[in-house]
Amino acid sequence: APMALTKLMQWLLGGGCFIALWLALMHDLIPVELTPMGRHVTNWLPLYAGGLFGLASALTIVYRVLMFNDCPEAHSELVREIDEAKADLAKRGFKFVDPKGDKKTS
Amino acid sequence: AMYSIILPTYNERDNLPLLVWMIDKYLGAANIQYEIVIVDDGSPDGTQEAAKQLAKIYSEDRIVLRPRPRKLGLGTAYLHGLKHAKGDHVILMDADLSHHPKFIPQMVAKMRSGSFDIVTGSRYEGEGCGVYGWDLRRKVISRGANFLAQLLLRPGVSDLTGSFRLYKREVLQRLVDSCTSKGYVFQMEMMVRARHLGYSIGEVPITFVDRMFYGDSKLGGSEIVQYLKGLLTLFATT
Repeated sequence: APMALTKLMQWLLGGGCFIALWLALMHDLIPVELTPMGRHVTNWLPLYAGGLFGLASALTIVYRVLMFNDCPEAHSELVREIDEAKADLAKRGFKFVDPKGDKKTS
Repeated sequence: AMYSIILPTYNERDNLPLLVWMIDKYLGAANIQYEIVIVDDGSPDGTQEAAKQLAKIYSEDRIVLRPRPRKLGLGTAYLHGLKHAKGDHVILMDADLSHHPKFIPQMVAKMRSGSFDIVTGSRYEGEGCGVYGWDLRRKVISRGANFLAQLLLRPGVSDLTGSFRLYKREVLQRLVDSCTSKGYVFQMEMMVRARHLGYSIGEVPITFVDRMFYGDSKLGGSEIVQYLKGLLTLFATT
C-alpha cells in the first residue's frame, strides 16, 4: 500500500505527540510522582532530548568515518588492469590519442 | 537475458576504451550477453571517435553509439539510452573507471538469487566494500550526508547516492519517467520512488576508486547546498 504520510508529516506527528506529552507533564496533567531530579529533567526535556540526540548522531558519524573502508588494493588492481587494457587494445588496432595532442600509433 | 549498459559520457576519450575492455573481459568471462549504449553529449575531445573504433573492434552490436548534440542532463541521457537499448535489463554506471565492471556479474547473480527488481552497488555496507581516494573532509561529508538521508528518508538502502545499479528494464523506465531531480539527488530520488512503488532492492558491496581527476573530488559548497535542498524536498514530498 502506498505511504499516506510523507516523511515530513510523520516527523511532525511524532514531534507533536512528544510536545503534547511534555506539555501535559509540565502542567501536571499526568498523575505521576516526580523526584526533584525528575522534575528538573521534565522541565528541560526537549533540550536534554535534543542534546542527547545530537551527541549520539555526532558519535555515530565519527565512528563511521573512523571505520571507513579504504581500499588501496582496488586502486592498484585498477592501475594494473589499465596497463593490460592499453596493451591489448593497441594490439587489436586501437589508436590512442597522446594527451599532448598527437596521435600515437601502436 | 540481455544486459544493456547505458553509459552517459562527456570527455571520456581516455577512459572509455579501458572501460569497454574491462566490461568485455568480465562479462565475457561470466557469459553475460551485453551491449554498451554510449550516450555522448557532444564531447569535443574525441570520445565519439574512440567509440567508433571500439565498435569496429568489439562489433557494432555490442558498442552502440547514440550521441546528443550537447550536455543535456543525466535523466534525459538515461531516457535517450533506453530508447536505443535492446536489453531486458539495464546497468547504469559511471564512465570514469570509478566503477569496476567486475561487480556486474555479482549484481546479476544477486538479482537472480533474490528476485530483486533492482540491485544497487553499495560503497558503505557489506564485506569488501570501500572507497579509494577520499580524504578526511570527503569522508566526513559523505558519512554526514548519508546519516542525514537515512534519518530523514529511512530508505532501506545503505548507499543512496550511488550510481552503479542494475535494473529490470521496465522498472528503470518507470523510475526515470517519474524522477525530476538533478545530480546526486536524482540517484536518491530513484531509490526512494522505487521503494514507494513497491520494488525490491538488493545490494552488492562495491569498491569505488575516486581518481580525483579535477584535483579535488568535486564536492564544493554549492554541491552540498544542492544536496540539502534535494534531500529536504524528498523529505517533504515522499
